[in-house]
Order: sequence, then structure tokens, then C-alpha cells
Amino acid sequence: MGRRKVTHQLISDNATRRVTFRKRKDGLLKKIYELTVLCGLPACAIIYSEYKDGPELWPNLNEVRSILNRLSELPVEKQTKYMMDQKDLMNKMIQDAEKKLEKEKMHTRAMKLGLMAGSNDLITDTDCSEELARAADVVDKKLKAIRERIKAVEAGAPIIKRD
Amino acid sequence: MQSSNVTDCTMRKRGTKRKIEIEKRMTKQQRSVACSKRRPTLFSKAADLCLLSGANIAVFVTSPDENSDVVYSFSGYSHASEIVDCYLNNKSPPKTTINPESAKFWWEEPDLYRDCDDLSELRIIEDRLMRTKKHLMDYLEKKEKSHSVSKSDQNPNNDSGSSSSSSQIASDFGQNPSTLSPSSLKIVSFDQNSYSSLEPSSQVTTCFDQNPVFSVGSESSSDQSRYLVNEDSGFVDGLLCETEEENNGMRLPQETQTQPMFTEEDQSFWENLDVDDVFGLFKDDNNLEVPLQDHSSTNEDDELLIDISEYLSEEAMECPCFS
Repeated sequence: MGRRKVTHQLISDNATRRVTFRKRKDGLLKKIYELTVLCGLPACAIIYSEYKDGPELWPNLNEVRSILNRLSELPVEKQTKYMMDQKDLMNKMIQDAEKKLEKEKMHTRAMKLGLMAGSNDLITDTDCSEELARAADVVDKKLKAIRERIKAVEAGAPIIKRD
Repeated sequence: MQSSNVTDCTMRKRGTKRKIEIEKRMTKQQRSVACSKRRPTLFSKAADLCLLSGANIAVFVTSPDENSDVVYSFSGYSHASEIVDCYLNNKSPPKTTINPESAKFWWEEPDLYRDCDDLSELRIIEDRLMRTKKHLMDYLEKKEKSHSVSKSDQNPNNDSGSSSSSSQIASDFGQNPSTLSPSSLKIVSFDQNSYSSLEPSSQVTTCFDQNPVFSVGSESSSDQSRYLVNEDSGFVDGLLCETEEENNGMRLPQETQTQPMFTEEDQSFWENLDVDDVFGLFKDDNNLEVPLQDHSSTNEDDELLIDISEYLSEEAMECPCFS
């Protein structure tokens, strides 16, 4: 049984929003705890919500104070360099997705070229003009290399035999 | 030995999810790898929580290296420094005003400038709106250019076609294309009713094909067959059927003249008849509301009549069929 796809926008129903907040907050704090244990580094969270008047602190007040002091001691450039908000996170995700897409495109191009080269059907396939252009470049380079080798052989260079 | 078997089993299970023991990694490299892999996931979870519940969250994670002075931080709607300031000064953070029902663009906000009395703020809003408008216009221009380029690529002979069609029409009329005025031409579309009700005394001269296509009266005039017609009564020589492309090339004003089967008087006459007396046989002639129309040819029609004998040769005149 698959999970329901969650639409990423503010939940309009108050009760549902409250339940979602509680469950997801617990999940988030668990993740932070796991990170602190696995990597042995201090981390903290400050959560402001409409369900509590003051902020919720994790893990405790002293830990939060120490991390914030450490943050305030840093120069302004270093403070802001690794600060992320929703927009920055979205941009980063988009960049990662684009990189992944480019990788996949390169992979498919290589596969197409392999298929075309295997079937000797380079001229009739007009759908992938970019791939054909790349293939033409490769062929040109190979031709140049072969012609240079031919000239060298004609000039009397030794022929290297490969097993 | 038993422990090695257990590890082998766990190593074999590549595809399935397995729980890992939450304990500190031994080597420095393992710790840094775990941190760099888990940090983005943690921040994305925090982002989801902010988005779904409208909470303001700040998460601070220090670097695994002891000597490095790096603190990674993520914040929801407000900036991390703002949340820290709010916490340190015991202030409440700015409320997140997001209404899911009316999630519109910022410039569609009704209270954008009503409560604002500061002139500088209003100027900033105006500047932002101007920039937004400029961006939109630039984007639209780019789109239009790309559309026009693609269209010109698809049919590059479009402009030449229109001019050639107009010159062709002019040559058919035996005129110079420059002297051909659009006012002297009229497009008339006919349906079945108008064709049946056309009288010989009508002043509009038309030219029909041998097998014309007439559309049903309920259809629109754009679907009906169009015929090029001259308004001048003396101009009878060349009349041709015109296509839509030639219309576009000529840029002629299109008028549709459709005559109904019966006039209003005719309709009222047929409506007023009794059921018993369908053909009005038992009524007096003076009760008839519709006056009889005179179908005799007028002087104008006589001008249009052409003496065929002028165009026939002597040999044709001698032929017995004309005698």
C-alpha cells in the first residue's frame, strides 16, 4: 500500500495542521539527535509555533546558548556563508536536479551514439542532430589521426603492431 | 564465526532497508561523510515542516571538524539571524501571513499600500512594481520574438504569396494591381435560401461555378462559399471565386448578403391563414395583406442585356439553329 502524496503548501485545516506539526517536529528532532550521535557534533533547534507562546528549544537551553555564542563569535561573512533559508534550499535542490538531468542526458547520448554506430544508421536518423554533430566531430578527429599516421608511414616511420 | 555469518547476511541484503545502530562513527572520514549526507536531509525535513505547518524554525549544526569554525544553519520563513535575535531578546518572531486559499502574487495583496503612510516605502513598492512590469514585458517580448521566428521558419514565402495573389486577381480582372481599389469589390456569400429567392431583377451580378457548393442556412457566413462580386452594373466580364488566402492578401472588406426565403409580410400572411382555408381560396382578394410584386424588368436591367448577334460570326448566323 503506497503513501499519499503530500501537497507542499500550508495545511488549511487547523486540527490536521496541528497533528502534522507535532508528528513532523518529533521526526525532525529525532533526525537532529541521530546526527549529533553519529557524527559527535553539537546541534540545536529553535522552533516558534502558534501552539506555544515561547520558543521550543532542543536539546536544552545551555546547548543552544553555547552554539549561538559560537555562531556570534564568527565573522559576519562566515556566519552568512552557510546560512540557508527556504529559497536557498530550493535553489540548491534545483541545481542538484539539473546536474542529475545533465548526467542522464550524457548517458542517453552515449547510448544513442552506441546504437547508431552499431547499426550503421547514422544518416537516416534525423531526430538527434546534436548527437550526429558530436559523432561527426569524433569521426573528423579520427580521420585526422589516421591521415597523419598514413603520412608518417609513407615517410618511413615504423609500423607498430599490436596483439 | 557466528558474528561473521551475521555480517555476511547483512551485506548480502543490498536492496532492503535496514536499521543502523545509532552510535558514534569510529573514523573521522566516516563522521564527515555521515554529516555531509545527513545535513541536507535534515534541512529539507525542516523546510517541509515550515511549509506545511507555518512554524518558524532555525536549525544550527556545527562542523564535524574540531578545528574548523563553521556553523551550518537553516531557517524557515524568517532569516536565521532574525530568529536568533528574537530568541535572545525574548521577542516573538514575525508572523507568517500565508493564506492557502488565496495564495497570490505579492502585488495582488489588497493591503499592499493602504496602511502605508511612509513615502519612501511607497516609492520602494512603486519601484518593485515597475521592475516586475519590466521583467514581464521583456519576457513577453522574448516569447513573441521566438514565436515570430518559428512562424517565419515554417512559412518563409508568406509575404510573397499575398502580393502574388493580389496581382493575380488584378490580372484576372484585366486591371493594373495598383489601380485595383478594394471599394469596387464586394464579397457576397449565399446560402440555399438566398439562391432560391434571387430574382432576375436583382442588381447584384454574380458568377457561379458549374457545380457550386452551397451551405445550409444555419451555418456561419465564414464557412459559406464566397464569391467575388463587382458593384458596378456595367462590369460583367471577369468574376472569380476567391479563396481565404487571397482575401487576406487583398484585405478586402467582407460583407455577407443573405436574403431570407420570405419577407416579414409573407410570413405574417402565412401565419394569418386559417387551417381550413390553407390556400386562401375562400377569402376575398382585398383581404390579402401582401401586395403582388412586379417582376417585370426595369430599364436598368435592359442596360445589362447584351445583343448576342454582335459577337456571333456570319457562319454561325447562317447555322439553322439560329434562324
